[in-house]
Amino acid sequence: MINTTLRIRPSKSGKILLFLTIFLFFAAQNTGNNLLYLLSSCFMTCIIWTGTMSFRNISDLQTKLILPDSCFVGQTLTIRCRIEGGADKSRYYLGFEDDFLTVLRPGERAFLRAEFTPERRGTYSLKNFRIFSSYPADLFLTCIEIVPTLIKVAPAPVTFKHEPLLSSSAGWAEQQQAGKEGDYWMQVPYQEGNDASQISWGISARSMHEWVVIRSTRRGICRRLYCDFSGSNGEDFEKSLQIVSGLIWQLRCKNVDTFIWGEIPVRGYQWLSVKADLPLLVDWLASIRSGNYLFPTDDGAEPFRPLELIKDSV
Amino acid sequence: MNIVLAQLEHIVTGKTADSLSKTFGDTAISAFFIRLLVLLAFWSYAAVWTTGYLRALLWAIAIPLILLGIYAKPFPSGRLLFKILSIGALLFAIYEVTTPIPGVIILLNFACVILILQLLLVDSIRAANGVMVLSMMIILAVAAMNVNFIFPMVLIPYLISFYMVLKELAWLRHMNIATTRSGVKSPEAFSLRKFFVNGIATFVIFSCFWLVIFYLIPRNESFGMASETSRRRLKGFSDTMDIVDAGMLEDNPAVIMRVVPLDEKSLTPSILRRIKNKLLRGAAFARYDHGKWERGTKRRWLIDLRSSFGEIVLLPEAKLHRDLHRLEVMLENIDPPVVFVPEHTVSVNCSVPFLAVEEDSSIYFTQRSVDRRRYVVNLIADAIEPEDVEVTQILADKELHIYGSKAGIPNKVLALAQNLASGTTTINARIEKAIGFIHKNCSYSLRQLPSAMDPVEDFLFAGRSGACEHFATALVLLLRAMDIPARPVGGYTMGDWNEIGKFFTIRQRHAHAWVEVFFPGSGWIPVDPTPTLEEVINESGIGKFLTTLWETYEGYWFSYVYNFDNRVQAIGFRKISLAFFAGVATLGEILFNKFVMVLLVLIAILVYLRWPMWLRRVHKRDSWIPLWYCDWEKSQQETRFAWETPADYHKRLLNMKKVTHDTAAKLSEVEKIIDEIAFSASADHDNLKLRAIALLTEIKIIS
Repeated sequence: MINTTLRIRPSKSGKILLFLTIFLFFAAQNTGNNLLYLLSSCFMTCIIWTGTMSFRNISDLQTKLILPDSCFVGQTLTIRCRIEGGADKSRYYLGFEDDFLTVLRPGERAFLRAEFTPERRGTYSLKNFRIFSSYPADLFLTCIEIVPTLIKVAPAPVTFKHEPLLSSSAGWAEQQQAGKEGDYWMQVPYQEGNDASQISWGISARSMHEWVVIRSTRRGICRRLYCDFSGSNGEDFEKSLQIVSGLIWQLRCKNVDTFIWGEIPVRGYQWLSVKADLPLLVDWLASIRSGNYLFPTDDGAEPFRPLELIKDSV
Repeated sequence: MNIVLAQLEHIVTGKTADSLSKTFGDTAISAFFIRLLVLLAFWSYAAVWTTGYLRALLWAIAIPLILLGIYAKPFPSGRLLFKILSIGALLFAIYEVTTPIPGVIILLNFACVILILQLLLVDSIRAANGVMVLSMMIILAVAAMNVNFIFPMVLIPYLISFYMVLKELAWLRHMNIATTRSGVKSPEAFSLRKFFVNGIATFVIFSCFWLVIFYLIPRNESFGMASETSRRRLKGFSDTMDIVDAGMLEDNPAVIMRVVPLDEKSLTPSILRRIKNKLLRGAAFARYDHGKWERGTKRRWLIDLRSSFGEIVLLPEAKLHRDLHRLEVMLENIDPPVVFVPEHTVSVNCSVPFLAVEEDSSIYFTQRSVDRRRYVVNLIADAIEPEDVEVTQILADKELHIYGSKAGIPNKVLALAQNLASGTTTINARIEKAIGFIHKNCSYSLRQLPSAMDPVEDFLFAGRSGACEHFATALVLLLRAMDIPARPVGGYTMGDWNEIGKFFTIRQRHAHAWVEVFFPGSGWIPVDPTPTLEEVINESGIGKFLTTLWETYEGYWFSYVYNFDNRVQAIGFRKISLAFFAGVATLGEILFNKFVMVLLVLIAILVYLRWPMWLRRVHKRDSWIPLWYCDWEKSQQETRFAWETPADYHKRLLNMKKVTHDTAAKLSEVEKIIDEIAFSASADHDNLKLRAIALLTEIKIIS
């Protein structure tokens, strides 16, 4: 769960009532009228009571922003906020952006969502997102401020026809279909209740337990591409990135695994799988700037020059 | 959602605080909300009803209010007409300012009309806000009138309605902010038990908190003019008398004093009847000026009770009277600090060093007390028959001059007095004539209407109704006009006899005004011109019980809310601080006792040695599996592993053939119950637990 800050402040109605209470208090002091004292104290009680109720309604509420693994420019991005209360009390009137929850019963969890469509690649900082409530009587607005979160957005994928890459070797793509064991795989024990069709009998047959393959790679067959942006700057560079983005998107759609030479923060340049490391590729595409590229020294690494494609298309 | 574009870093911001605070004034409101507003307005009008004013207007408003409550739709057209009516109401209010009608009544009249017009047009949140403000304005105006104890009966439902309206506003605002509304659910299922438990708990906590704040709000002594009038009305007795602005007289049940006959001989019915007829004298007045009475010379003599064995003698000639009755008076802390004495009191015994006696024979405590006063009066139970003499025998006396002055008496009253006095020569005859005229022409009423005339002239010739102050003033002026010295006196009647406690209870409502007439041979003799109201009450047992409850409520209301002021607050604070320090002192004494010290040291050693851990059973668990199930499985030969769920454990038992298939079915049912208890908030935990325990007792594990 993300650390949150709870804020409570009076709404317009609350401010008016507070002003009225103070005014009544002075009127009572001036006149000595006990009914005015009584009303003033009643309003004061009402304010404190409502404030306490508002605070209790939203305090200890666990929230978490759930962001998509990857996002491209032009896609509608859905931000989900998971809210979870304790088992002791119900929570009422919870809002998150345009979404609204009437009641969150004890022990329940709920998801509220917000959407936006990024228009440019880069890093988006999500600020001032909050769960808010004016329960119970519109005198206070309580908010749980969610700490700013970052999300990387890759360039809009351009559907360029990468004939040489997608059809250079017959059956290459078919060989990369998911579910087939490869040189490297990751498996987890089958749990009762899981989909039995996911069991990899080939691997299970060699052990005393059923296993499910969640990722497999035939390293030897996967292509390794490194993007060469040399000579592209400004608009050309952005277009090149869109082409790379489109290539990754198409490879992923066709379920074809390919390694792309990309940079990861801290760890530097390394081979990233289109199928398994898409979020890292998105991060790389979102933050890459022109110039200072480092190319791989591996044998068999193929260059991919998007600038040539742009020139060809022109 | 706003997106700020930078080079590669962009900022996406959520809804701003301002957008969350929007009131969405143009939003249409539901029929339910309109009905809530009608309810709110209804309680405002009910508050106006308690004042006794504007009854005709309220009847007229009732019909459209009921219709609006039924149909719950605003008027589709005719807004211009309503606006014209509003302006008309404003102009009428401006006109009313020139009349003697009190300003607060004009304000209430105007607000009531505007409120119903606003209600008839209410179609949006903005209009609903208007209704709320107007209704609150009415409630505050009624509160400012400081009327009576029925007001809180209306105030509480009004506040509940107000809270409901605010709650509905919160819902509407959320609905306006939320455009997707994916999370809107039906409200929780209604539970009568939950409703009552929560409702009562909320009410009790809120009320306690409310009263605590009420009593803790600091009060000062700088009261304004409004307060002075209201306090005078409230107190019943006052050392000032103003019949022009007597205001609404209260039927105030706050207890002022208790009078206890001390002798057995005083408890006979005949003596009690005579004591009950006594009037408890407070202060007298001398100068009359257009409805206002002022005290006389205000000369004051300080009596040293230390040199007279704590006794002050008022009627020295009756000191050796054979039939004196001793009455103990327990006087609540009142302001001014008057010593109320019953008429024909011979002497007063009091435990203070000094008492002050003024020239009009009123007695005062010289120092204010923080607590109840107690003194004993010795009186003659029988009424003293004054020696009737010719009016001409009243000698011109410097002391009497002020009480025989004709200054301020209206000409019409003078003429009436001359007319009544013609043919009579004695004091008693003239008193009878004057009282006879008053009783014949005037009636008793607590309700007073403002008038431009002299209040006595209005009472005798126009309005012909008034309270005891009017009767007393009218008689005094008539007698003075007939050359008889007289003065009005303020005080209390003897109140209600409590048969169980054997004492008289004198409340605020027993405040009274009467007349003292000077007889040359007998001195000042009390005469009460106010007609006695004959009340025939035939109440059933339930009726009496309800009346008692009501009076108890009234008493508490007036004693602890209405009359509460800075002095009582200071006394309360002092008592709390004394109790606190006394508690601290007692605690200190207990703690520094040798035996307790030894005991504490022993307990500290036991705590250090973790003995308490052996004495109690501590369950620290973060598992969802219920404790009673853990207890059961631990009692079995084959226990559950920590990582096993009940289902796993049962499966293992079955695999190990420790249970039969019949038992497995029961275990399966237990699993379901555990799941339901752990993961369903709405489950009836108690019943499920009982059912599961019953099943577990039936299960036998094969060893």
